[in-house]
Amino acid sequence: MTSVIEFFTSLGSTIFSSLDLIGVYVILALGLNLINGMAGMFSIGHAGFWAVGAYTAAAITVHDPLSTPWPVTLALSIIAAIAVTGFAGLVLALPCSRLAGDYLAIATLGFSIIVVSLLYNLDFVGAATGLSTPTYVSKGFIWLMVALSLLFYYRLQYSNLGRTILALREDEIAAQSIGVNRVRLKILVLVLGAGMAGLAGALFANSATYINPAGFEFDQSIKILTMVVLGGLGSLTGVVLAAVLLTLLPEVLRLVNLADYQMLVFSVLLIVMVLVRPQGILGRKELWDLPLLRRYWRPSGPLRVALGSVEVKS
Amino acid sequence: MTTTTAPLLKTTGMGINFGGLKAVDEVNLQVDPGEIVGLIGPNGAGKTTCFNMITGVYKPSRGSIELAGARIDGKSTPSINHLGIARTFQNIRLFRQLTVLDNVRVALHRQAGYGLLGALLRLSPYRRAEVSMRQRAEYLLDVFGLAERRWDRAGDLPYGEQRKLEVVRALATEPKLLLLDEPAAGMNPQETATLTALIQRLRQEFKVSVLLIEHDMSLVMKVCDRIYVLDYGKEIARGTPPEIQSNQQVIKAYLGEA
Ligand SMILES: Nc1ncnc2c1ncn2[C@@H]1O[C@H](COP(=O)(O)OP(=O)(O)O)[C@@H](O)[C@H]1O
Ligand SMILES: [Mg+2]
Repeated sequence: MTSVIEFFTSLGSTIFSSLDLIGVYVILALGLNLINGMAGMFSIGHAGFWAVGAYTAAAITVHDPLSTPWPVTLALSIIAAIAVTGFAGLVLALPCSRLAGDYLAIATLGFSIIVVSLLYNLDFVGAATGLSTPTYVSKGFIWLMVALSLLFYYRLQYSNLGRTILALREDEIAAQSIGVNRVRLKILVLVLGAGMAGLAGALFANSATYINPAGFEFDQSIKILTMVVLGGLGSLTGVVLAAVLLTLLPEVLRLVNLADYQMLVFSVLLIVMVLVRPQGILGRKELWDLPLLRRYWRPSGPLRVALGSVEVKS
Repeated sequence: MTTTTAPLLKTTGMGINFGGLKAVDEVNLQVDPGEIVGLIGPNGAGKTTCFNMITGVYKPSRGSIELAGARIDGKSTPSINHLGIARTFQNIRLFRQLTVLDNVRVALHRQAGYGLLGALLRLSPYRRAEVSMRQRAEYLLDVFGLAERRWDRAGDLPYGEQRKLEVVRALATEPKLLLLDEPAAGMNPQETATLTALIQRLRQEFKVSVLLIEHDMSLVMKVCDRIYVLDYGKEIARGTPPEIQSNQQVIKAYLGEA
């Protein structure tokens, strides 16, 4: 009995101490879900954008070039991280958006590898040792940003712009035949998705005590991709759920002294998912499409009021 | 027409090669405002390829395409749609995972008048646009008898309704010219009869001209003012429905194929 209580006590404190990391991964997964799920593009180097965001923010908070009071420095670091990472997304998108899908995968993969190897060699950001970073943000602030990111994603998806992005995913030729500008939209999607990774990077750099290049290697890109696939490409709530579970999984395994088997558990989990539920935990559905929740709430917007009808079909 | 207005659509010597194959060669089509024009011919004659050139999916190897007197060949598919041409597809291309309503609503995207910021803040321009887009979509669905289906996934609709939904989606972009590629394919006689009436209504109520590819000859003869016949990429006849029905070359082309 006491051991059960002990287990749950330490589980609770593990979850609590992981909250900032969970928040960071939720935002990362949302950004990639925007690109791969909502828009149906295929980006695989998301940790590269994350790294750009984290190092941009860290460079500002550590060197404090304008010698501003810390809240201003923090704000500057977040804005700069989003802007620089969004710009990186733009640079990658410009050639890729005209080409077929696979090029984006190769370009983002190459980009993430180049970013990390640059970071290993750039002395002013600590090279392989990395940077010790001030911890300006609290868990509460991170989750405020998570909430804003969710709102951003949700409102984007259920808007005019979101519908054209979904249409492009469903059928590019048909979407263009009704006047959807494919190139413009794909560039926008990549900029927004990368920008969200920039935000995640800034939050990470401002909550962790140090960052180093090893933390943004390709296994991290795979982890974020797994969250998106596991949650159900395109499902907002499914991806959040998967991000929470996959961030906690290694911590929980450590708790029960199975840390050595982490890769094994990950692999088995993936195989089981692919066999049993290839569409992800929720598929393209959302939590509010589940019968239990649907009775109480589903998204509606002003139209429900205006026309007395429900917006989203399960 | 009293004055000499430019034809709505005019192709001059339009042609395209695929490898060694002249899929379409020297085709001169004309559609005047308010006209319903048929484009018929055996399978593989090059009809769909004509649509693909007119809508900018393929760039013609030869000739020109004009919309209301202005060249459109070489323009992109979206900009050709903005200029006033919309189409349906022979092999249905709906946004299958989206609802019936969203298939139509997305086609109204150019009248939203709010952007990313408007969507995020949901201020009054967003609300106004969304309400009017919803109403417009509902109206169009209602005209085509699809209003009851608004929350269904487009991919779940029966075949005949999918074809109708494609027409609604194209019509929602408010085109001057609508290109319909075998809209009655897979429809039962009753659905075809409804479609016939709807095509006539397109002209009267929505003021669009129609270029129609169709194998159902009774439908073509009933709705078309004029008809072009293609065979092996070339025009072999043109005329009014009675003229085409009694044209020996047309009869031979169709019998030869059967
Ligand atoms: N993208 C393409 N590449 C090669 N050949 C094509 C392509 N599109 C059409 N064709 C060929 O062009 C000819 C005309 O096709 P199509 O326009 O689809 O005929 P229709 O619509 O009259 O049945 C056919 O021989 C077809 O195989
Ligand atoms: Mg065809």
